[in-house]
This record gives sequence, structure tokens and C-alpha cells, in this order.
Amino acid sequence: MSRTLIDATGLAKSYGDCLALKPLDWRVEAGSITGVLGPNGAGKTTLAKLIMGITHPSEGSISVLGRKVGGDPVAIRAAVGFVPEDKLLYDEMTVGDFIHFYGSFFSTWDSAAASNLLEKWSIPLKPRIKELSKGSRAKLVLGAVLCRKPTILLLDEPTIDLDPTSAEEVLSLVAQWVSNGERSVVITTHRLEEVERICDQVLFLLAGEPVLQADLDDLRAGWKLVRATGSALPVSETQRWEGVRRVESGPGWIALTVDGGVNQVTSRLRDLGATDVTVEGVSLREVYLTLTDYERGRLDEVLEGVV
Amino acid sequence: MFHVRPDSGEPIYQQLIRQITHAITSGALKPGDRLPTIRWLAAEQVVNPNTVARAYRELERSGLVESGPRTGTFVTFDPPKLMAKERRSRVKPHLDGLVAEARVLGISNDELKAMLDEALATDGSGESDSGEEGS
Repeated sequence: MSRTLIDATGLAKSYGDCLALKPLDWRVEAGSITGVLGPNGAGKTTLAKLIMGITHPSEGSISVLGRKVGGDPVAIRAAVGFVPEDKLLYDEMTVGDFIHFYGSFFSTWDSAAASNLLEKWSIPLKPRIKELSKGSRAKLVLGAVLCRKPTILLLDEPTIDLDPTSAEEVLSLVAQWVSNGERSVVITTHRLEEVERICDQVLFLLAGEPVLQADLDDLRAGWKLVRATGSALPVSETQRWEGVRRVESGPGWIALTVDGGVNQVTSRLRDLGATDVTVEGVSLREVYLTLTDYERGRLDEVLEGVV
Repeated sequence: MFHVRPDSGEPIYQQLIRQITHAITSGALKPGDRLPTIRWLAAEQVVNPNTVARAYRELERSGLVESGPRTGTFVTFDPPKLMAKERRSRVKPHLDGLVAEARVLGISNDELKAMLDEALATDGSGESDSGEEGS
């Protein structure tokens, strides 16, 4: 139904012996907002560079708006608007000079829309960019990128140093921008609560490996935390059950993080004599920690020597 | 009017469906009222427009709203039957949970029915309800 704006097939990138991105099949549909998640060094930046054609695939291919990246760099650059995390590039310029300078690079530049946005956000033309608040600066850069009318917006940590109000404004603008169903947004960020709100798709990278690709609402529907109490519950057996991603246990209790098949898991637990079987929703944070194999309690051990 | 909690583990479109449905069944939204546009609600709640669209589609499918090209999405008339259905579907998960809990605790069907009858008798206020009136 919707148009595929980014299409990666077997896309991989290595730098020497180092595999920065392992083969990835990935599609970004028009109208979607995709959160690309993963720890530092997971391959998020590599993926962004591949989308923009700044670096070339070692294997596989990626196309943007049906054009193979690498073949037509001008068209790709026009289609992809990148908003970097570091927004200090044009620090010494005045707002007016920046808008004029930036706009001059793009034939698609909409100067009326730019003036409109600046007025709406009460950002004056006279001051140097470094004199603006961080919130205004972030909005200025995002606004400038939007005014060159890209089809895909690539945001790197868009709200990293913004106060909650400015962050809300920026994300709200992004949600509006994508709502005509013809554009899409890819966000790389560590702010899971923002991804949870604004994204409808997630791509999770871990050490270059795409470990999870999902529709977020499907993920919410599928991932559950099942808690149960009971004596002598076979912990190691439950680890092998289909859908069980993580098992935590203690004397007389067990907690299973499952990815699908929750009803089967609860009935098997009951068959094993478990009582008080409860099912809860799982936040994206829990999913993230499960995928990165974070061990709760490890912190206590570390702290024992310190506190 | 709506308040989405993204970290609750409940799909956002379902939260929207629940809240909009509640607004309709409680009378806060009346037949003929217009729902906010997808763009507006997405920007206001800072959620994905696709997610809002999905919620609206589901609400349309269940007959609570109707949308026309360019006119927007409206709360539909003829609520009585839908209301009864909606009321039942809201109680259903609680009943399912109750049955599951009873199974775990080894309570027999007859015992559970007796308990339900007793609870209904103690309350006693729902006797005359035909279950078909609207708001």
C-alpha cells in the first residue's frame, strides 16, 4: 500500500577486518518513523552514512526512493535531510546569514516556509547562532533541513540536550511532518521513551548485527513479562521454551520475558504447578535490556567493593 | 482529552482506541462529533501518525466512528447496540482473568457460578437493566 522509501538488501559494511554492519535486510515505508537503537558502536552511524551515500556498502545494496545509493549522489542528497547531533557547525553566523547560506545549496529550498517557521518559533534573524538557546538552535537546524523539502529525514539524537518542552516541540513537529504519509523519518537515539512515543518501527543493532526489527505496537503486543510463584520450577527448562527470551528466578518465584506465545507459556507454568501467574506489558527499556543481556543485580556486586 | 502512556506495554493504538471508546460511551464525545485529525492528534500527543491512523481504522471497523474523504472522522449515530457490545467487551477481559485465576486455584465451575450469583445478589442494583439502552 505505502511506498518503500529505503530498501536495503544484504547490506553490510566492513572496515578492514571489522564488521561494522552485518548483512541487513531492511525497509522503510512512507509514513513511518523508525527508531534505530543500539549501544554505542552498534553500527547506527554506519547505517546513517550508508543511507546518505557517504560510505559505500561492502556487500549488498541500498536504495533510496528507488534509486541505488552511490549511483546518483545529487538525487540522494536532495532526498535525504540529515540533522546531525552536533548542531554547532555554523556558530559564528547570524541566523539570517545561515538561512540564506544554507538555502543557497538547494534548488528545492522554500524560503517562504523558512521565514514562516522562524516567525512562528520567535527566532530573530540578527543574533549569531551561538547566542541562541539550545532549543532554538535545534529547531533552527531542523527547520532549515525541513525547508529544503527532503523526503527522508535522518535525525541523530534530535533532542539530546533539549529541555523537555523544546524536545516536545521538536518531536511534535516531526510527527506532523510525516503525517501526510509520503515521507519518513529515521531516528538514531538512546532515548527509548521518545522512540516509544513517536516511532512505529524499530531496528535494533547490536555489535553490527540486526537483532530485532519490529512494528512497535506488534512488539508491545508480543513481548510480555510473565511472573509466577511455585516451588521447584524448572528454570533451565523454561529457558528452552519457545518465545522465552530471558529468565530471572529466585527462591519460589520465576519471571520470564517472552516474545510471543504468552498463553502457551502461562499454561505450561500452571501445568508445572505454578501459582499466581501474572502477565504484564513490557516497556521498550525492558526489551532493550533483554536484548543486550543486561544482568540486574550485577550492579550490586560491583558496588559491594565501593559502598 | 486523551493521554497516551508509551511505556505501559500496551500498544499505543489500543490505548487510543480505549480512550476514544470511553469518551464515546461516557458521552464526552457525542454522535456527530468530529474526532481530531490524525495530524493534529499525532502532533498533540507526540505519537506516530500511523499509530493514530491505525486506531481510527479499528474504531471505524467496530462501527464507532465513520470517516469520509476530506470531511474527517465522526462519531456515528445508532449507539445502543454498539454500546451493549462495547460494554460486554470491556467486562470480558476481567471475566477471562477470573476464570484463569479460578482454574489455578482449583475452584470448580459450579463453585465459581455460585460465587458470581452471590456477588450479583449482594449488589442487587443491576436487575432491571435491559442492556440495550444507549448512553
